[in-house]
This record gives sequence, C-alpha cells and structure tokens, in this order.
Amino acid sequence: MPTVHTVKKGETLGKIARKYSIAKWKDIYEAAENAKFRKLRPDPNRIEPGDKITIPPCPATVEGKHSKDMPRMSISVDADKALIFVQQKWEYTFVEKSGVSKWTSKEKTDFHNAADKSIWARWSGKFKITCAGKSDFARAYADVVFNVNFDIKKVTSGGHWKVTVTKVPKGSKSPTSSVDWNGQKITLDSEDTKLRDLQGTGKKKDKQSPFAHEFGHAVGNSKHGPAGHGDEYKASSPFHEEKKSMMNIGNQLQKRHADHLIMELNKMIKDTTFTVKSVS
Amino acid sequence: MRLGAPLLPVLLALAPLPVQAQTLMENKLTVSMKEEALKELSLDEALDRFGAAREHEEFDLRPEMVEFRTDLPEFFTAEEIAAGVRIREYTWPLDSQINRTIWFADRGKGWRYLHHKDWDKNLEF
Repeated sequence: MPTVHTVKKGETLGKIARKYSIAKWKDIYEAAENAKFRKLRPDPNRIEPGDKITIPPCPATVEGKHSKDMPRMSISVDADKALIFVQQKWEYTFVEKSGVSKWTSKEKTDFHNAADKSIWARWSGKFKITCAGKSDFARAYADVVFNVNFDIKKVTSGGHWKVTVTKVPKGSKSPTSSVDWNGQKITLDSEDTKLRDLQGTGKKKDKQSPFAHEFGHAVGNSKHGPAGHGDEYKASSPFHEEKKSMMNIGNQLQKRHADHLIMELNKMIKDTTFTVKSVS
Repeated sequence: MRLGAPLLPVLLALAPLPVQAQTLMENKLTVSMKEEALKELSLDEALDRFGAAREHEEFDLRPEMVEFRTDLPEFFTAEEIAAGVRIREYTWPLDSQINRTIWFADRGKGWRYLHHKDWDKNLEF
C-alpha cells in the first residue's frame, strides 16, 4: 500500500521530502501517483494543510531486506546498506592420502580460513549491481549500486555443499580438485592453498587461487547449472581466448560470472530486474 | 533340449540389447582397454580404435597447468617445458557416466600416449 501523507501547517514539499529521505521534492510532486494532486495544486510552492500527497516508493517506506536460501547458497539483499550477501555452507570431510599424518583440528581450521580468505579476497566487492523495474523496491532503490560479498561458512550438518579435502604431502602431486554441481560436492586438497601461475607471467596479480576457481563453479559457473557455462580453458568454450578470466587460467572476474546470481536475484523480488553494472 | 528355468538367464543374456545400450557397451569394450595397452597407443591408433573424439584440442605445456591437466608437467623436465612442448588432448565417452581423456605428446616418434584420466561427466575442474 502506498504511503499517503497529510500536509500539516507550515510544511513544504521540501520538508516532506526530507522527512522521507527523498533527495528531490520533485520526485514526490512529479510522481505518477500525484497526477490528481498536481491538477489541484499546479503551483508546487502552494500546498495547503490537509492536502493528501502520495509518497512514491522510497527507502523509508519500502522493505529493503530480502533473503532466500537455495540448495547451493543463500542470498541476502540489504538495500539500505547497498549490500548483497552470498553465503555457502560447507560441510567438510577431511581425509588423508596414505602415509600422510592425520589432520589436526588447527590444520582443519586453518584450511577453512585460507579458503574463506581467498574466496573473499577474489570475489567480494568486485561486482557492482543495480536494479530496475516496476516494483516498489526497484523504484525506491533505483539509484543504489549494490556491492556483492561472498562468504563460506563451515558447518557440521545441513551444508549446501559436501566438501572433501585430502591432505597430501607438501609440494606433492595433488589430486584433481573438482566440483560436482548436480551432486553438490566439492573435492579439494591441502595443496589448494597455493596460488598457481597458470598464465606463466610470474606476476602475483595474475596467479589463480584454486579455491576461487572452484568456488566459481559452486556459485553457478557450471555447464550443468542454469547459467550453462563453466570452465573456460577448453577450446570448446566460447571464452577460451579470455585467458585472464578466473574461470579460464587467470584471476579476473567477468560480468558473466555472476549470471547465476543474477538469475536468482531476479526471482527474489517481483517485477525487479538486477543487472551487473560493472566488475573489477 | 528342454527350455527349463536354468536356460532362461542364458537366453536373456543372448537377447539383443537396445541400440543405445549396445553402443555404450561397444564403447566400453573398445575404449576401456588395459592401461598397459593404452600406453602403447599412438594417436592414429587411438582414433582408429575409438573413433572420432567428442572433444579434442592442442595446447602448449606450461610448468603449472589447470586442475584438469595438472599431472602433465611431471612427464617432462623444466628444460623440455621451457623449450616448448605441444600436447594433444582427446576425450571419448567411456560409458554413459565416465569420460576418458588421453593426452598425446610428440617426442620424436609421432604423437604417442602420454597420460590419461577417466572422469565423471558431472565434474568440473
């Protein structure tokens, strides 16, 4: 239901706009909802006590928080903080390659922290997202540029993903890390804490984190998922030549890497369409 | 001869398989050869034996490779890799669930087997 404001003695459109944290009084006066009011008061400087003005959707009157939990991740939107928060719950199983010592509690914690830190550093704060549409939410937050943060949380049950981590000797040949989108399984190993110079440039900024790449699959860059695109290093990928891409052999995110997130966001709030404005 | 119960499993086993199942079975029989025999294969022999690959490509070997190809540098010295090594990668379906990728390298005797990986089609690396 739209908010209707009854004008009190001494109020101006400017004062009313400030009351509802609306930057410009014209946004109230010229709103489609106030067409009849404009006919009644063609001069916006002359409004009268008792006049009823409809306040267009704005942060003060529209719910800015929305969230949903899905099989592979949860998404929270907090429009007042201009933040979209994506979290995956990881349920770990730690195993050892034969001849290797058992995982200690500290090693398990350190491994999770390394994965969390690496994913946060390479995925969070990179996508800038805006929304548009006919919904009150879209109208109220049309000027907001959302930041997206990504997080993994260690859980003992009810995880979005079953994550098996193999401890291997340091510096040894590691088992192949992988993601099974359909089975919601991730396979990692203790050597995945190391960055890889897949492009061969020798520059730290170009090195790829195995955590960040595999997380990319789990967050929707899977040929088995709705986005329909996964690894980009194979010649069959349309993005094969974009070597610097995170899902190829590089370390850079691309707009398409948020395709699945955008699809899910667009299902969250009716008549609201989210778009990646930029990615850094 | 009496067609009694003991013969029934034999007759069922001899019954023709549906076409799709037959194809998969043939694939499995031809592609899933023993590792010792695989190691003797040239690329031409592999193509003769397994037919056209589902995917194939050629690339330069680097000291560090993507997860899927992470084993490959171990077959060469750092000097060989620095001098330039080309790899050919061919993938065939082993059965309905598993793919087999075979990598070939030319070390002066034509494109010969280097390494292989059997992997679940659901996995991404």
